[in-house]
Amino acid sequence: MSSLFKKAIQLITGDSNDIAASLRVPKTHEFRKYSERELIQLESEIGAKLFGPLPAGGRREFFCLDENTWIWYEEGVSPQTGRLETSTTRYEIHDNGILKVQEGSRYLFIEGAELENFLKATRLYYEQVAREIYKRDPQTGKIVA
Amino acid sequence: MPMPEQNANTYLDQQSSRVDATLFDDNDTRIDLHASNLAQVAQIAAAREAIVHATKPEQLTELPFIKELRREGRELKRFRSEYDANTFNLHEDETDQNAAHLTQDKFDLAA
Repeated sequence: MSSLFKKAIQLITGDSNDIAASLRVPKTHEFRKYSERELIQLESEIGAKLFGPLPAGGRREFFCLDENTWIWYEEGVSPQTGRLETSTTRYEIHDNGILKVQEGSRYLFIEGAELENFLKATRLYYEQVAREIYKRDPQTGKIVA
Repeated sequence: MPMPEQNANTYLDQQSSRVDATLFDDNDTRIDLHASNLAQVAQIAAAREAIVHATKPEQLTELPFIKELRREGRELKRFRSEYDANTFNLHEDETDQNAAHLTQDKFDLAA
């Protein structure tokens, strides 16, 4: 992963261990206000689960940064080399398609099954995040009782 | 200046690597912007635009699913900005239930 992406991801998501620790609160605990970065981290925990379980020791992030940007990040130890490998993909929303930007790869508009799966993932993400984190109706955007 | 898609991709990768290596130093957070770097950044932006407009020139209007994606993105931004700690009630039990539910929806993004 390039240093540019590394810095961007760290800036956006921070250290996941810190966030995970902050989430382990007792039921009687008074809930505090979260920053946007922390909220994105919470969203990303839901996003990461949309794609099934991670291999042991692996880490995944999937989240909506803004209306034109989605981020996928995954890291894990390669069974072949035993080394930590990371991969960051940025999906840019353009009027004429979704541009996949990945280090070391061609920049391509996704299509076919990959496009369908991306749209399914973003739809599930939106619906689950709206309901579970923000207590909103995904259709109306209104807070539900 | 429009350029063929393949050339643009190759060019973009080369320029990205150079700019990464030049602008960002792993040992510290200084960003040293020289005129030549700025010119490279501008060239990358131009190459990106060339790809975006050269790939599917017949579809320059916003596609329906793009419109929906952006609407959801804007809504998420609004939810975050209007977030109220009092509405946040995600207990550990609920988290477990959600995880079990979510893992039923598995698929491979890169299929």
